[in-house]
This record gives sequence, C-alpha cells and structure tokens, in this order.
Amino acid sequence: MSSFIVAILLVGSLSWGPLSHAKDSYLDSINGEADDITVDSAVSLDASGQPQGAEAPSIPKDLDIAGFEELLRSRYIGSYMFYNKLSDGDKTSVYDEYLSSKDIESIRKKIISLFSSH
Amino acid sequence: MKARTRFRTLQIISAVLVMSVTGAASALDVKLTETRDFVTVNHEGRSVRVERIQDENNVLTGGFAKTSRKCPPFCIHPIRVDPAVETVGEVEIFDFMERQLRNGSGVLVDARTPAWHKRGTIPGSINLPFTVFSRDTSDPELAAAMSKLGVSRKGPDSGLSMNSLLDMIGLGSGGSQVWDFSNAKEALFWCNGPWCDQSPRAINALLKQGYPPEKLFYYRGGMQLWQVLGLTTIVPED
Repeated sequence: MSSFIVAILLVGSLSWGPLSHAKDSYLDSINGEADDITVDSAVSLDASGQPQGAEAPSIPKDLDIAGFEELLRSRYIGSYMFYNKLSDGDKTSVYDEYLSSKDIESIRKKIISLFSSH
Repeated sequence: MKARTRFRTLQIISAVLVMSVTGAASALDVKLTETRDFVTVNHEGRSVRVERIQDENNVLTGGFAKTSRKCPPFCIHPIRVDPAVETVGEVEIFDFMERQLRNGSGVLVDARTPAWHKRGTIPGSINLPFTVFSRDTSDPELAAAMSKLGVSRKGPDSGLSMNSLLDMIGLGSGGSQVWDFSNAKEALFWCNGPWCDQSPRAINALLKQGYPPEKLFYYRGGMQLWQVLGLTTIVPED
C-alpha cells in the first residue's frame, strides 16, 4: 500500500510539478502590452501624501470667458460677487490668471488683490 | 477719509471671509454618487482623496482609450469569475474603502504584474501579482502574499490525510490542508477591466488554495472603468 502511495506521489510530482512552473505565454502577452500603456491623470503622491492637485478641487480647463464666469457664479459665488465689481480690464486679468494657473486659489487671490487695489 | 479707508478695509475682510466660506462649501460638479463627493483612503500610510476629474470635457487619451486588443489572450470575461464569488462595481469599492480598508478587515488587491501596477493604480490597493497565487504551497512568496490576506500556514501537526495526499498529486482542492483561513480578510481583486484575465486568475488560484469564496470579491470593471469614470489614480512609490 505504502509503495503504491509513493508511486502516486512520484507520478504526481513528475507530471504536475513541471506544469505549474511552465512558462505562461499569457505573461509574455500582458507584459508586452504593459510596455505601451499610459494611465490618464495618474498622479504621484507629494511629500504631504496628497496626490498633486487633488487636494484643491480641480477646475475645468480651457473655458472661454463666459464659461469661466459661469464657473465662478455656479461654484464660487463669493469670488463671483467680488469679480463682478471689477472693471472689464481687471476681469480680463482674472481670466488670464485662470488660463495660466487653472488654480482656484490663485484666481481668488487675484480677485482680492484687484478688488483691494482700487 | 479715515472712515472711507476703514469701510474699504472692512469690505476686503468680508470679501475674504465670504470667499473662503463659499469656497469651502462649494460641492463638486462631478460627484461620485448623488450623496458622495469623494472618499478618502489610506495609501501607503497616507490619506488620499478619491474623486472624479471635474473637467466635463475631459476624454481619455492614454492606454485605456484603446478599444481593441488581440483575443486571445485579451478576451471579454463573463460577469462572474465563480458562482460563489461576488462581482462588485465602483460604488461597492467606495464602500469597501470606507469600511473594510479603514477597519483593516479587507484588502484591495491590484492583481496585475508590477509592469502594469507601476504605471498607475487605484488608491488603497496593494500589488499582489496573480502569478504568485499559483505557486507551489511551499513557496515563500506565496506565503508572504497569503499573510497580507490574513492567511497563515498551518502547523506541522496536520498529518498525512487523504485530502492532503490528493492535494499533493493535484487531484484535491489545493492548499486546504496547508493554510489557516480562520483570519482571512475580505479580498477585493481587480486588474485592467473586462478584457483582463489577471484578477480572475488570482481568484481562481486562491479558490484552489481553499480561500473562502464569500471573502473574495471581483471588480470586473478594473482600471478600464475606473479611468472611464475619471476616478483618481496614483503612481505608486518604488
């Protein structure tokens, strides 16, 4: 009986063992595909642990001035109130700030600075 | 003149106050769900916010914008890996992040090979490549991966039962005699999406090892759907 079990174990290890280590062609395929992959908007963690740009709510990019004003009106009503009091020239400066920074904090600072300079 | 300056100062202070209050209260336009703007999840010891891209004109341009890959091997998978393993979607992942990941009872597993993982992963995930789960039960890397799932190796007193003999010759269920699943965590596996076989392979290998199927979960949408929905992805640290 024991020699029968040993025989089964030997056959098992010989026939199944190598298969478990066999080179998987699937691996070659997926690794080849991975070489070309890029992940949209993947961010690195900065020193504070936050994904860069993820702490402040991101704002849409490439809006025209009407779209930008609508964004302020709908999402940043406080900023919009003071933006509305600015001259046309100052409004253009704020819009330029939006185009260059896409960052609501710097846009807010710009509005405040222009508002307080008059 | 003094009164005018004071009024102006007051105006500026109120402007800053109003803007900071309304800014903080402003909800995102592109939320996760009707009631949830974002979830926070611990990733490598840091708190990360999972939210959607707010630019409503944003479109995918990277590797996950690609529609067609050769099948096989990149074939479309059925909704379930196994009848006993639950398939989940994004909302269930948000819940999983807030409950099981937070209290330590669950693990979110990026089952892809490191070459994929390093390009970008779902926050809160750990990388346990599917290849490790089909290794021999004596392999130390398998033991290390199992320990991340709360599974330990059984003591040496198990004896040579009929089941372990069957396992040894490949006719048994696998590692049921080897592993102690009494503290197994809920493990949610994902890979690249409906065309990806990496997480199904990991789940099938774990089932073979004897992992309780009710503690395994399959996110079929994977990185493909995660990207389509504009959800946060992060590049893991080396």
